[in-house]
Amino acid sequence: MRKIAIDPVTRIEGHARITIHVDDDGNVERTQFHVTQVRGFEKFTEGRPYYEMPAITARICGICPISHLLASAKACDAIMAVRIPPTAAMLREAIHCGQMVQSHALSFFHLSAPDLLLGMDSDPAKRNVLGLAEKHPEIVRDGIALRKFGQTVIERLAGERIHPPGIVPGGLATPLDSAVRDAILKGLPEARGIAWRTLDFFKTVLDNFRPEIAAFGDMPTMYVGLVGNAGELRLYDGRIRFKTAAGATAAEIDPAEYANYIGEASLSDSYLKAPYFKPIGYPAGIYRVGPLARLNVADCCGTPDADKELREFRERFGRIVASSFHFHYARLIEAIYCLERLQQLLENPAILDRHVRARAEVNAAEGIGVAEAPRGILIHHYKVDENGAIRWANLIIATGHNNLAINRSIEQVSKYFVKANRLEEGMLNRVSAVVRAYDPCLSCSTHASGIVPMRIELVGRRGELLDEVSSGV
Amino acid sequence: MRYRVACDGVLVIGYGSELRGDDAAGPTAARRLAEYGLSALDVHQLTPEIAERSAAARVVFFLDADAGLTPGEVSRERIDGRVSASAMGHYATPAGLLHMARTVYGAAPEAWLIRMGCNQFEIGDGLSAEAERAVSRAVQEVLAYAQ
Repeated sequence: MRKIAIDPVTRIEGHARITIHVDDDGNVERTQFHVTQVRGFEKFTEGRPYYEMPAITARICGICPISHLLASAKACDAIMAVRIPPTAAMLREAIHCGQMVQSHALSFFHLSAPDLLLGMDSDPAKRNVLGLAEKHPEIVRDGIALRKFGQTVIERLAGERIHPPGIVPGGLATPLDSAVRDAILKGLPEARGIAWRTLDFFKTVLDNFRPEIAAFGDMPTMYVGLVGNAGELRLYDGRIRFKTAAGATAAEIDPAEYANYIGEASLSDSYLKAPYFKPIGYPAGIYRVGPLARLNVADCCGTPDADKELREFRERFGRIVASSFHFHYARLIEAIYCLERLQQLLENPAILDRHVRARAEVNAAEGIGVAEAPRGILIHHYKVDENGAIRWANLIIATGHNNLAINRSIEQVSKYFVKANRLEEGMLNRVSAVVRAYDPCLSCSTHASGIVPMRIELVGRRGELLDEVSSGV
Repeated sequence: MRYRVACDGVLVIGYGSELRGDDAAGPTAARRLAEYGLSALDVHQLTPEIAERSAAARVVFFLDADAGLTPGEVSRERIDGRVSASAMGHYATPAGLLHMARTVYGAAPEAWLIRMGCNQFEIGDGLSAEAERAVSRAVQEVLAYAQ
């Protein structure tokens, strides 16, 4: 048996390696996705005061720090046993909308659009945002503008673009000023216009990707995401709904009950754990999270424009959409949702209420905070001593939830596209592209950052190098 | 990221990790230049959206720590925005950003890369004496040009 290694996978957050085992005829036998970094936030935060956790855990990631801030702050709210002021909840959700928009824009425009708009087999030296800029400058301009809008929302509402100090245990540090609200509202029409025309454009190129749609993780799994009381899409709060591959609700629970339903398996060849649906067990309890899973789980989005797009999405691909290629489509629908939802929140006069923070001491020995990060559901769970020092912490990150599904998707794509006796760069790019469809944040999931060139090696049974393909980032 | 409104068309972009010792030389130099009223960005790394800011400038200075230069020394080189087979993922290069400024925004600002010789990149904050010397020289270099 021979082995192909993609090390590291490019245009993702963090470091990963893919190994493809092939037989002597060049056919793929099995694959492995390895996450090769470890950070240890759960361990080194032991002994820190609970109220430091939002600021510490936000440093897990530079792309989705808001998600960590929110989940962590919610866990702290539970330790304080407070219900935060309604306006604080609205502001947290509005900040979260900004975060979703900037993160989805990064994923679609900067990381995946080179594959989607230049082609999976295009010149790898140009298959990047620079090459995209030459061929589709208007798309790159839109991507930059949309991401900037999301970042500006975060900066204006929470104080900084990356690790803002405004989200605190008990609510928000400062109330919203009407001039800030008005400035954000002024920018919304342009942002919504970008989201609309990007989705419209994406729909026109979808038919170019029939093989990828069929092979990019088109498989039965469960889906997990937050929903509201009416079954609508929720990103900041709600209940956790587990749906089967056929679309039946397997469970719908209070987030505080997560440990009864989600187990975590440790893998010998990766620092990334593999969560699974406990009632079914490992590995049959495989599930997916993130934009596609959220749209499969929810009955509707709950905002007019996003619901219109969701109906079209379902008419085209079915009520439960299984191919992970459609994470891209789902991401764009969510961007529309977030911009609409942001407008709803900001146009509510209550958003300007000055009472935005509840204050209390330690009133509970344990706290669980759950929110939907851009890549899927995020769980922060802390236990504290009587002084509020962290005794134990568990973080289950979106990319972790998708670990089993990413592994299985890599195998499906590899078996479909990779023929080791005629190794081509485009084949292996598709293997990387299916990983990018999940928009994994490995920095988050192992609780690091970096990007280096991709190297693919074909290694013979006795360890000899048979072939090699490499590309820049 | 913070900046002042450009009044003279000069934009300073200092980049590097504030948590890796001398790698903070770029952001540190940018902040010092901001104190002189120059439009300046202090960022962890270069990202595509900076192309938009660069496109609006007449002259752009990129400031970066460099382990290959003699510690404390400074070099200046012109960047023309021509890129080879390199690319951009989550980070960008000065030449890549200029290329984007030209292709996406139709702008071609004059651009310089100022490298500051540094030698301590271990985890931790604070600059070495050599890096401090390089930052001072880089600041003087930009000010001399801007004036």
